[in-house]
Amino acid sequence: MRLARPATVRRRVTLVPLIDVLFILLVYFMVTSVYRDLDMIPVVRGGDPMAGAAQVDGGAVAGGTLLLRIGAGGEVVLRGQALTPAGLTAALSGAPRVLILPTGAAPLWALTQVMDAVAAAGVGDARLVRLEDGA
Amino acid sequence: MRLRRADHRPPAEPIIALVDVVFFLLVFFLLVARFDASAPFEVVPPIAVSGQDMPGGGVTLSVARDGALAVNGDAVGDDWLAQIEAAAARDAARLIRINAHRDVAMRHLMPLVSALEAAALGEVVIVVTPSGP
Repeated sequence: MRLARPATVRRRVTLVPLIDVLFILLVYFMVTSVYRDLDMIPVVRGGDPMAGAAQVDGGAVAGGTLLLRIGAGGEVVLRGQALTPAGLTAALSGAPRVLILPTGAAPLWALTQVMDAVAAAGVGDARLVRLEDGA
Repeated sequence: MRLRRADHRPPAEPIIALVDVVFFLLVFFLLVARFDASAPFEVVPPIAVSGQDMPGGGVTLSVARDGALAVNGDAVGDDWLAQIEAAAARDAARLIRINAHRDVAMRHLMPLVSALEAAALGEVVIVVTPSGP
């Protein structure tokens, strides 16, 4: 007796499930992605610290260096005088070196504003300084 | 003479082209996305127009408005420097990103910068955004 084999039917690979999975992945990434444009401001370069110590004597710094203090409310003070943004730009023009000394309560946004002004004025040497603990 | 009518079967949809486009879109989103560990608290970076483009890699130290810390998305306590050193040892970028809230007081931030400088783990940068949230 001979048994008749069933005819082999070649099944076609359907693409529809693949497309479904791809669409689900695509929608997932589009929905869960948060696009934020982030930049950076260096504060310590490798081997070249920008946040270093500085000898400041009574607010006077030698060699034409400006000492900018940032107050608790974000105000910028130079030689005891609070500066307006225009005044800060004028004071920074031509300064060879700037020391930025934020008080402990000064907010970070004030520091980045001062750094922006320093960069816009083309000051080549800007340093962030802090008072020693217990000073 | 009898003319045969053209076959009116609708042409098959070119589904391969659709799959190609979807693949392109998927690969695009995979490439442009940066999977950074988000901090367990809200961090709104300060605005600065003089920032530089940020390279990939490195260790992220997040600082909340009240001074709470997180390293690569995990909340840490007083051992934050040890956590950063361990994470930096696994990363070849030698870059420490300080992702601090714009309102954080400098008394929270400056000791971090000094400690990172003393640890000599590489470049330390403050994350800023060129425009508002």
